[in-house]
Amino acid sequence: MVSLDRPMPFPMNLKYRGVWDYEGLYQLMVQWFEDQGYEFHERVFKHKVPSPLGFEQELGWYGWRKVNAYVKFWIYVYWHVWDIKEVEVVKDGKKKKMVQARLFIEFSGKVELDWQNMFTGSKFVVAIQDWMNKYVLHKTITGGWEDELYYRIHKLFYSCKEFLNMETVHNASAHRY
Amino acid sequence: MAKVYNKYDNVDYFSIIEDTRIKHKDFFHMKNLYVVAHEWCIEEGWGPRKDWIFPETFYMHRFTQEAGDELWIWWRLEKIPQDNTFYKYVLDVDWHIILLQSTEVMFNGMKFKANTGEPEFKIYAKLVYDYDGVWKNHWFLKHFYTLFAKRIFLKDLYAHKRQFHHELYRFKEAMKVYMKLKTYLPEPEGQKFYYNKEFN
Repeated sequence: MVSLDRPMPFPMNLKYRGVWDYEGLYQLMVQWFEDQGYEFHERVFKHKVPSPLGFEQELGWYGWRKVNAYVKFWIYVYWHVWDIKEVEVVKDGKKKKMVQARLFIEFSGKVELDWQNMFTGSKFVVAIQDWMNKYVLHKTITGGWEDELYYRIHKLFYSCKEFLNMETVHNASAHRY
Repeated sequence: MAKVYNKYDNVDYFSIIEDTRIKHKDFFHMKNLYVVAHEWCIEEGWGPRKDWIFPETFYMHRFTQEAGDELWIWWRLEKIPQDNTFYKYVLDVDWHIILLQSTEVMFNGMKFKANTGEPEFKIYAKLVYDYDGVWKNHWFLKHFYTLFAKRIFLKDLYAHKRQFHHELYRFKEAMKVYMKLKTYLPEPEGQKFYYNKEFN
């Protein structure tokens, strides 16, 4: 039977060590979820004070969006930030509060099929759904929806890289979706 | 009498390395060392991020009053390379830490809580083939299993052996970078993202 939850095979990871704008990045990502029409939830927010180097935070987010009557996209973001220390920097002649920390973000997602449970009730209906997913919709699922989700997550990933002013700010797939 | 089962009882495997160890006796930060190893394994696909299914099968902490604590941690890591249906990498990591005590160290004018002790990693790497028993349990394929596993797939086996070998050494390298030991791979593991034992 074809699985109805189709997760992205590998997550995208982002690591950054240095001075960055925590508030800005946080707002940017939440805004991205809302602009793209996702229902956004912050599932976890952990705060720890372990060492003189600073505090530690762990965040877990997810967002979902209905694509059509059969498909739903889920995006998961996991943040882990170590040794956060607030610093003041002068940027464009203005004082700004930023943080010095080590940042790790993991982006992942999944395509959920049949989120309305339309094909339930009898073995025959389930078999029809399986046949449909395996043969009729196979290319649309793998090359269409799964691809779309991947590139949409990639755009969020790219926005973060751009915000952090990383060296490899180049999005080869900017024209997709 | 009860029979003791081993997870390698009914599978065929190829030992990448029988036993490799890293041992270190100095100050270090136990939590940071654990975090480095844990994060490395997750990032490289050896375990899930969800803690409740991370394959830490054993954790023993033995407290002593004077000598320092003793820890045994067993990680039974598995990875299926590129969704392969025939090969599976199995990495067994046994941590053994003795004489573990809390201490304080000074770095860059700051006082840190740290530990002293003797951590040792014992690592066993095994390349398991036909891990689901698809060939061995099939009424037709079982007759050709040995021929395919040992002759026809031999090049594949060597390719996976090389890849696994490389990953194993990268894990060792990550631990050695934390402990500030000498390394020989072209680029140190961890990309200077995690702290080493000197909080740098």
